[in-house]
Amino acid sequence: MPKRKLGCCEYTNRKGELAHVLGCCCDCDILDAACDRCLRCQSQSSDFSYQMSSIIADRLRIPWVGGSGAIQLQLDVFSPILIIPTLLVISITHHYVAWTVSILTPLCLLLYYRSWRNNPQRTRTRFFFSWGLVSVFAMAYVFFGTAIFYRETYLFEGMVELGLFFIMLYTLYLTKQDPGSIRQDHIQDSFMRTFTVPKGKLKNSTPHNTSISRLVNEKLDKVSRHIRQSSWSPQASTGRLLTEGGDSRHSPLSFPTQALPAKSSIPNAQKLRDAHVKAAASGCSHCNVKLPPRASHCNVCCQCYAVRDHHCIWLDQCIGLRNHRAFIVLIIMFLIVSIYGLHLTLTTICTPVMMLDFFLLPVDCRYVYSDLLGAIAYVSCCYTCVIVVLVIVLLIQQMILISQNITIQEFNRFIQTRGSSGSQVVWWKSFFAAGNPYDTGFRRNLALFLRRTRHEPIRHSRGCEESLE
Amino acid sequence: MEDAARNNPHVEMGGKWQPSDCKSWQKVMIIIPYRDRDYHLRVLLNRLHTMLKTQKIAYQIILAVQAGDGGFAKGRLFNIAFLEAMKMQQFDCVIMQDVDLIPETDKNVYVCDSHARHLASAIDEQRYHPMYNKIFGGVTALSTQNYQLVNGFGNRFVGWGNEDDDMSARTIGAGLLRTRPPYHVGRYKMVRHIKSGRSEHGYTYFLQWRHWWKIDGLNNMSITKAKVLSVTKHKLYTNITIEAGDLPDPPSLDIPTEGWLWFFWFYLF
Repeated sequence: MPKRKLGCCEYTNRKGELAHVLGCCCDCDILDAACDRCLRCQSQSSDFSYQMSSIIADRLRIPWVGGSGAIQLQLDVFSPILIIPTLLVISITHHYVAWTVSILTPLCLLLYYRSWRNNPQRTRTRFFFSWGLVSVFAMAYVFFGTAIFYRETYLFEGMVELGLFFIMLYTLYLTKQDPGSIRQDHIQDSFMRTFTVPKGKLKNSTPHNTSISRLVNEKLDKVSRHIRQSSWSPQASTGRLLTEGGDSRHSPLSFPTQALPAKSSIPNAQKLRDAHVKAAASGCSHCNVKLPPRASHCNVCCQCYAVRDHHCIWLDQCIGLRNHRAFIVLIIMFLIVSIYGLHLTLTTICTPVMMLDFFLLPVDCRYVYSDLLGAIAYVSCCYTCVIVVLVIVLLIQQMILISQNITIQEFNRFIQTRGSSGSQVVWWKSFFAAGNPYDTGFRRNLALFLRRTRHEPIRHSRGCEESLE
Repeated sequence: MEDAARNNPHVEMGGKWQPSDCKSWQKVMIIIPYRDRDYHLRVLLNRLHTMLKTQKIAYQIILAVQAGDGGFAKGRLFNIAFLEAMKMQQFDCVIMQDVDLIPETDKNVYVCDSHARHLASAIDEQRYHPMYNKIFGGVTALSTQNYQLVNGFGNRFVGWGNEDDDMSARTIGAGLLRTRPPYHVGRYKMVRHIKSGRSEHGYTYFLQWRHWWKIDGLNNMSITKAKVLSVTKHKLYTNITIEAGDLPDPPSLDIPTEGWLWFFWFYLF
């Protein structure tokens, strides 16, 4: 096909042919065949819906200048822009509708998320990210447009809210930065930092110092040979690991063991450590890199990250070593902005009552549906309330995990091992991973998290480095 | 209404009272423009009489009731009721009270000072603070001299809105300052109701205030054809029924209008 500039309404379709935007409803073989079958009372082919959706996705374009033709509208990105205002319009009819919609919408989203996660053929979707972003901006528009800058709040209250909102956007930007990905060219560096070279030496060396890299490689080889020879190969069964748990003290990578001499008899701790040793010994088969401990592979991002916590669908981003702190700040900022915005908006549209002579509490919301703007603001408030509750749950979970210096991945592994061992615990103890080898006490855990140094070996004593020599 | 009367046996016929153990500082008239707000009025009268007795104020409550179904001309009601009340007695102070605002504390003293006093400084509906600095609506107090100085309310506002902003502009034009009780004192509860329709041409008339304020008001009531239909004395108030008269002319474009800069200055600072 000769290369020429495309007109604003032309595009190359998925068959590689030149097509026009106006022809979006013409010449659809799949639909023709389906209609034929329908008239002949035959059953439809099984992949009809899939083919139809791919054709719709291919033909849904908007004209664009610049020579590259009409650009494709991505359904997962653009559908929230349609869905959220529609839901808003539906729910301005009545109180009950508003609350039903605001509670059901997150539930439906969670169900959709589960079905997406359990689908083995899933592809990376930006639907949730788009949903979150559209929600945030829609709520901000409603709050600022209908209530906050509508004369009933002080100007400084509105400015404070606006400033907090921009800070939140900035932390969102920070969270979208690299979560500490492990690539082939980074692996030497990250390994060097993680295991072999003490901090003092590292300061004097550049990350790509060849002699140190060679040194690290040699050490890694030695380590992996040692692991292969011992019973700590990845192929070893869990039961065997459990029975011979004591051996892990002699494993070269068992640095946390010295920290927990008393607790090492706990089978869970043992298993956690074993899994950790396994992960360290093995590499990631997808990325073809050797993994430092606590790192893991993300199936959605198709990449390995250091101290990976989880993949946040709402940000379309993995949360790892580098952006976990920003993520927590983002959650806290989101809560502050939403709760303050809720306070300002609800006290504006509802009749407030002065509590204790300094605090306004919205109590009488009977009249919010008397005008359109008030109704829209009220619906947004309901939705924001539900989201705030969910985010508070997330924040509490994160707090509990961070206070014990454990990631969600490790915690899930811990839950699985406990499930298999069948031990029952008091419910509140089930939030705490007993015998977590990375646990260094609350204050140090917090310091490690805030300094973003959770990937470094934990030095309870000098033993962990000497064991490698 | 019977409850309110039973709770306030001290009130004389016509909604009057004055303290017997002392001579009060000012004679105060309280004008309440009113139409079809029976429940609001009962609550308000019950509260006002009790509160004013506590404050030992010589007062008379005057209900300015508009007859007919036309647009609610609040400014005209105030002006007519003011002129009519001044025939009854020489008042020192006029307080313009909305029927839906119930004072929360007894500490908000219903007297006038030498400037324009804005008594409803913190309304619950407006988050207990004035919406903008130059707001002058709800419950306001002007001495009779000042009321005559600012030439009363504008007669051209029919419907809800803008007559209070016009009054604020008039006090600015007359060189009066606004005084307010502190926000924890000037607290009012607003009894909720569906707002009536906005006044037609309200903003245009308001932005032409510099032209109108000296020639439209107390001194040209005859032009509006507004007239008093009846003055009756009830147990808790004096009822002045008023016919609002002719609708005003639509605003003329030849009259100088304030620009958007003045508009923003008025509402933002």
